[in-house]
Amino acid sequence: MPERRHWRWTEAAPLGRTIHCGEREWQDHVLARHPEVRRYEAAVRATLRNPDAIYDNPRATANAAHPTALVQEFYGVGYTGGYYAGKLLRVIVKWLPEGPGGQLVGYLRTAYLTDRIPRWLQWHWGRELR
Amino acid sequence: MTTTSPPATAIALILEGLPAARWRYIPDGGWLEAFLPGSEGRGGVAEPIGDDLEIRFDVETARPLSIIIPGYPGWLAEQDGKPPPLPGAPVDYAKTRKHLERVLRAGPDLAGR
Repeated sequence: MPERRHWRWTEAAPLGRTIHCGEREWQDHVLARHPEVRRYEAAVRATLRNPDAIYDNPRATANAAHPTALVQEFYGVGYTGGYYAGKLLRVIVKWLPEGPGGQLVGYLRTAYLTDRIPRWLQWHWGRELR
Repeated sequence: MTTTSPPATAIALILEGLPAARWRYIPDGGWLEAFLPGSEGRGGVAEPIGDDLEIRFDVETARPLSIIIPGYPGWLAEQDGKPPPLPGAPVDYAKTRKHLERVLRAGPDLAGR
């Protein structure tokens, strides 16, 4: 079932796909939990438009509530500075097939900064960053 | 890149804070994070430990802010030795805390950093 509500913003991701960020997700899943991301909202959006890498998250996909959901992680390099210099921006996206053609539509789930990429993620697109 | 181990002090701080942690769950994808007391409003960076967990460290003090379990239902199934809970099932935070405490006490290798 497509999610229909007000989006904080929508970005055009690679392969002609669309990713929505809900106001609730931004406030509750991102800012309330990971306040360091507040200053990197533009970087989050840029990472979704033009990621340095995308990894499949098979564990999250297997455990997603929706049986056809796909969970991927978008990584952005070079956006952080100061205390956060050199860190990776990690943005979690859930994809759902929607519409008559089953076109995948993405929904931001959370975002935070990380040092390294877990070994069990599967490289999907862009540069292998590990 | 390879995973490293958190320092023993970080593990001790997590174990100390877990009973009063604030748990937040994102059902889509099974993202569970336990926020330790005093973490609110603090900026941090996540670091994977072992294969299944991540610790988010305070960028200024290096104290642990939260512990993350990506793919929580699968992780719980491994700990329980039985199938994962059905989608939408409520999270048993008390059981999860006990599993986490056991995992953290048993290792990972604390001599790594």
